[in-house]
Amino acid sequence: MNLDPVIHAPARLQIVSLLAAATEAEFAFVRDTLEISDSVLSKHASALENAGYVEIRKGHVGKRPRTWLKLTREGRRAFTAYVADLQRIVGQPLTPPGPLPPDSRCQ
Amino acid sequence: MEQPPAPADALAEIQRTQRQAMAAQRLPVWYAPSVVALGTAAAVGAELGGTAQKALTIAAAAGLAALTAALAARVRVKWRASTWTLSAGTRMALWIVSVLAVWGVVPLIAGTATDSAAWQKAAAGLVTALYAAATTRWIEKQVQAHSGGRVVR
Repeated sequence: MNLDPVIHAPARLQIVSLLAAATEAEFAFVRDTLEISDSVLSKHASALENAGYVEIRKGHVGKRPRTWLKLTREGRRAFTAYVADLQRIVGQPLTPPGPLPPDSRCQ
Repeated sequence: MEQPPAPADALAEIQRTQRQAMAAQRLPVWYAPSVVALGTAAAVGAELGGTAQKALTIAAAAGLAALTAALAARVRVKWRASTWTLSAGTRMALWIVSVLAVWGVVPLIAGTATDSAAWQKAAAGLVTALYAAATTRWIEKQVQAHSGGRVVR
């Protein structure tokens, strides 16, 4: 089973996990919560945006500029499928119990 | 370059990240006491009547609008409704009921010390504000403890 390579990278998995629980999160909140740098978050947020998984919105609260991140519908669908895949893998033994049939060895 | 996590580790990481993020957004301790204080101002105004009532009602409404704006400016994340569980929602509802109960009971007790309804309501406001301030973090921890442990999709 192939796990979505866009999500299945440590930093992006954390970002997407956080955004999956939120309708929208401020860039600085994601950065502070995940304890990563601005540049690392920017890089991964851009990768997720390019994949169509994350929408980046720039706005203002008062005079302060704020950047907000949210999962797109496609991103939420991909994350749901990703979690379902993980649960299927974890729910099943990774190797079948008992001795392997001779023709499955050394593959 | 970081290695992709094993499936079981990835699931655990999703839960850990979501719980950590939920714990990071906290309601300011001043918020609930401020709402109580503004409600008390309006209630005391209602007892005084006339111009004082109008002034205190308008001040309370303006204060509530300012509080809402201040809270909105501080919001850094908007959680989905699915992050709430029945257990967490029940606890939050019971806490709100307890705040209202304190607000309702204190005037009855204060009535044994003073006949002034305005002073009874002022005392109720003070005690309720202190109660709300003292229990805000506790109820947050309760809600977090009963919201976590699930993978929110």
